[in-house]
Amino acid sequence: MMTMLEHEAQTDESLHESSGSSDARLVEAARRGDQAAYGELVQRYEHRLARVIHRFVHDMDMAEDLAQETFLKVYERLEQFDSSRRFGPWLFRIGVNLTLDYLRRKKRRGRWSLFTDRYKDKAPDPAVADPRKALDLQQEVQKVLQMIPEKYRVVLALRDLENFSTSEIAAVLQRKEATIRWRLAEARHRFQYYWGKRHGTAMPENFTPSESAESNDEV
Amino acid sequence: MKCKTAKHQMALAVGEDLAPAEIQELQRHLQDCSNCQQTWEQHQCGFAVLQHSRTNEARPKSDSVWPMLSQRLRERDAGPQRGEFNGWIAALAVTAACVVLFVFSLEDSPLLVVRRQSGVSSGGTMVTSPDNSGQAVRPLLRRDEVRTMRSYNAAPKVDGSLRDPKLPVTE
Ligand SMILES: [Zn+2]
Repeated sequence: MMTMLEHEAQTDESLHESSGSSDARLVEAARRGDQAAYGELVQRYEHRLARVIHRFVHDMDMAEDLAQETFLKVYERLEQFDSSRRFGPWLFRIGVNLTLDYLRRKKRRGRWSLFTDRYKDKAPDPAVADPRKALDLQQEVQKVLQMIPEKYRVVLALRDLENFSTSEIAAVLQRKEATIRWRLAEARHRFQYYWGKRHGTAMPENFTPSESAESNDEV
Repeated sequence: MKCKTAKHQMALAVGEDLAPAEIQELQRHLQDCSNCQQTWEQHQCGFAVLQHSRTNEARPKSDSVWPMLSQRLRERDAGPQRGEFNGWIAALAVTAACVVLFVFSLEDSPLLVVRRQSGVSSGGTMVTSPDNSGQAVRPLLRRDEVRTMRSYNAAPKVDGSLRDPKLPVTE
């Protein structure tokens, strides 16, 4: 698994924003107490991490708070980090787990649930690029995602919404890549099934396939 | 290829998660199976919806969490840790509460009458004033407050509340 991840590190920038010092060197410096080195790591990953967390909590303030908590936790655990591995998946594992734990606690309290209906009465989020247009489709997508069990939904969100590779998801969730591929297939099945049940194969009003096809590889 | 296998592979192929050799095999199956062709169209629709949804990406509100985070790290490294500090307060408060309850229950002072009321047994010992018989004075510390502080004290430092007052407001 690691061989594949290392190979991807060269081709896939999504978890590996390589500029300046390597992650490993910065981690080593941070372990020795060099906070500026840790700051560089934070700035390297923070926006990506906040965006991923936002996929789950749908609130950018909360996503940034959770990202900050993640970095704090990571800093406290730097000694435990296996430096023969990549930093990105480890960071995202802690961030995703922290987010899912947070949502589970909220759900248990009955105030919130994973991929919630919060959009129902919510004013457009100014953090979303084109909120008015985005809202209808987002609402529907969230409703359908809500119907899918968490273990599939997380894989679907990371792969199809955040463009992680299956091997990266395997590293983040600490599962075999075969397991992730199986969950991904299952998740896509369920998504298309529930989407079809609600909408047939019809697209939402403001949906144009060509537009989506062209803007895919921006993430 | 069986339809069950084809359906599994379609779900991967739609997001380009299938090896080229497997794609060819799937294509051969699709040419001959109208049932799977229909499923393929549904998969393409579902996937297109997700891809479209993905393009509406959120933008972070703050430039960086680092200024606030580095401040927290400096505070963390400089002073006593939050958990330990609160632990002290909690320990002192619990001790104070126990002493107060102990003194009240021992003392047979004419100024203070201490009664155990069965109805409030879970809420701690009630203290009443002799001048104002029956009117309850709020105990210094309810038992559930003591418990709350004990559990806070026992909680691991790292996993403190996510919405703790020290968190930055990133407007
Ligand atoms: Zn078939």
